[in-house]
Amino acid sequence: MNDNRLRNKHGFQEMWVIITSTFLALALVSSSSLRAQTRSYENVLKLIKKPKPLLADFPQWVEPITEAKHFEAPVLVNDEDADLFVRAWRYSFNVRGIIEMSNRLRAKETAIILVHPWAFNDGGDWDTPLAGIGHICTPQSNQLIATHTKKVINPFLTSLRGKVALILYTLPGSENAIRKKLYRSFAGQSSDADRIEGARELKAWIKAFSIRDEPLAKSLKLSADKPVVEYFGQFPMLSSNDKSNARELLDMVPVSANIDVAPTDVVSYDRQRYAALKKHLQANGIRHVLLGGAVLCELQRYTPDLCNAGPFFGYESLAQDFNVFLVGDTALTTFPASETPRFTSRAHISAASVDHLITQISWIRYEAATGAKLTE
Amino acid sequence: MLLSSAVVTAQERTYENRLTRIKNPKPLLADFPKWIEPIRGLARFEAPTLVNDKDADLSVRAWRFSYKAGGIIEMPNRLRAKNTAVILVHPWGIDDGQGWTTPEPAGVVDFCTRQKNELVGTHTRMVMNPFLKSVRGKVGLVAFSMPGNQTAIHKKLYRSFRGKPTGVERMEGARELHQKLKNFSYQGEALPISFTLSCDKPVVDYFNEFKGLDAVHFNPKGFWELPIPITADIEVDPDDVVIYDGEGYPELKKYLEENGIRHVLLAGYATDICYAHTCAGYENLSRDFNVFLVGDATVSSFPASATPRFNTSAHISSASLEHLITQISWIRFDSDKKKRLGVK
Repeated sequence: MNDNRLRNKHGFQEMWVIITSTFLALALVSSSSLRAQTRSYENVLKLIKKPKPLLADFPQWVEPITEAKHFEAPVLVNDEDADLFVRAWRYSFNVRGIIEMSNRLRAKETAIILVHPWAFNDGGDWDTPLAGIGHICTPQSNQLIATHTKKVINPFLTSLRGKVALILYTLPGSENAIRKKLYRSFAGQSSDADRIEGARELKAWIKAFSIRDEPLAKSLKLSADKPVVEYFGQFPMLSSNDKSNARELLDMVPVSANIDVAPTDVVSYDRQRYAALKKHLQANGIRHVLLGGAVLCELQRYTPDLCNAGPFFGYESLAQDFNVFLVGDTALTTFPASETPRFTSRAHISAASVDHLITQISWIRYEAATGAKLTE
Repeated sequence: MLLSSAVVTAQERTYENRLTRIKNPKPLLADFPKWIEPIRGLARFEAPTLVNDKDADLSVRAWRFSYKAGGIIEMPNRLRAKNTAVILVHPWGIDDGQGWTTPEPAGVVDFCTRQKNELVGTHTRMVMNPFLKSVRGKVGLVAFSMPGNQTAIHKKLYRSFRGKPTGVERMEGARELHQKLKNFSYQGEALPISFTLSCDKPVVDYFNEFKGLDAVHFNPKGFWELPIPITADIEVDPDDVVIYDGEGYPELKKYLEENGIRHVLLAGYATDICYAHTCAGYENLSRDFNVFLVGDATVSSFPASATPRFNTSAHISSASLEHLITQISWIRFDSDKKKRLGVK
């Protein structure tokens, strides 16, 4: 009985390996054949008369973008049998204006990646540690972000789930026993029973967790010569110190309760590094990425493993290997010294537009069965 | 001077980090909303005086943001003006009538387009120049930082760490600068009409072939070797000093310390790039001096935007995590107050 089970299990594994290998081989053949194909792109720029403001659908989150000159360029991504229409733009200093263009993608070769949709202050069990740095750093700002997740990001994901090839979230830390039960990962998919059990265990874990942190320093020792230098040395921007156990909290944080995570959605963990993500995406035939989330996190400068605008999963890595579209109204920045993220988000999206394509939710349209006849 | 500085260094005090909630605080940086979006809302706290020099004659109110405190912390500062420098980062003289001009049809310089450079020129005239005039003669030093190294023309035009030109030399330098800039051809390369893209990764190839900012290929050869003047929108005084980035930060630090400077009021362009990261940027200076970023005396780069105000506000907000921010109207000399009150 046990032997049979073992044999069956091995048989299933062999079959799975054969299927996966065949799929991988086909995907690689298709990809290498596409790589070999080139085309001449006519960089003809036509002035757009009276262009509308960009990213103007959610002004509460991103201040709309207006620039003196907008130009229309020819279609950039032009897949055969395309069924996903993504209008996009970039800024060029040399052109002295914004360049807009149409793109026609195959949805089955497109992934939506949402960076760091943390659960802090989302109405569930995860509260920002006192004087801590959970997500956008204060409870009020996290609540604001949670509303954005609920009203903007979740409907966006729901509208494209089952149409694009993959929806993927990134989280800090690594996969652990609880997360393994909760979410599908590169390693495999959990069962319904696992997910229920994982949710129960996570609830128990957070209930038992007690944040340990240092309070604000009541007094500082300053020289008369350089008090400002020493003030910032002793009273830094974040409460990251040896006595804090906030790291443990971050390593367990789940996806926001404001996202209806589907069992087929995948979670990728920052400690897996970019190479693992790239491999997974390529193995699944992904060529295009619609990127949203906290991709423009200011904290990256200070705590590189907390957020990922840079080296691991953010657009700087992905844009080297995939056709990346930053979905501007799904990406929010941190907003220190501000009651709203809309100005910082706008500033960072504007800066990113010099080297990356920007799109917005209302510019992403799936049209099944229209295929190559897809029109604006 | 060095002895006096050593005495100050040896003194230590306990700073009571007491934060008192400010009721109904006014927006910060609200005097020039065309250039910087005012900073509103949030919890605001008052902290005790931070810099408190003996015989102080300059008041500089300032603030910083702290995630840990959950809000903005404001505090008074009392400085000695003679120990204070006003440094202006990269006031490039581009598209200002002196002759150095953005190359056509696709060249980029400074804020990268002629329109953006002219817009920032307005800020220099309306905000920066009056600010410099208001502090000149009262603070220990007014200085400008410029890219590259000192050229023969610069040497005749501006005072530097090494010396001060005579009136005759300055006139000769101005004549030579005019000739040099006027005789240069500002015609650069045109944009590419077509390029080759793979069908697999057209977006990756597109940005490799057609970069968003190319300050080399579209500017004519020799453009960056021209002597960059200080913008004509600033009335440079013969006593103002020019710092050349090429000399490096250790030289700048040495010069400031030798001149008894302990505090820096930092102004300049562009908030997100030169103002932060160059030789006289705040990342360097804040390691060794008490630095105050004058938030309305800076303008950020503003790609994909008709106005710099949101970008400047975003970058100043970000800088406030680790630096003190002030604004022009918060910098007050006791002598001006006495004058207003008619006190001798």
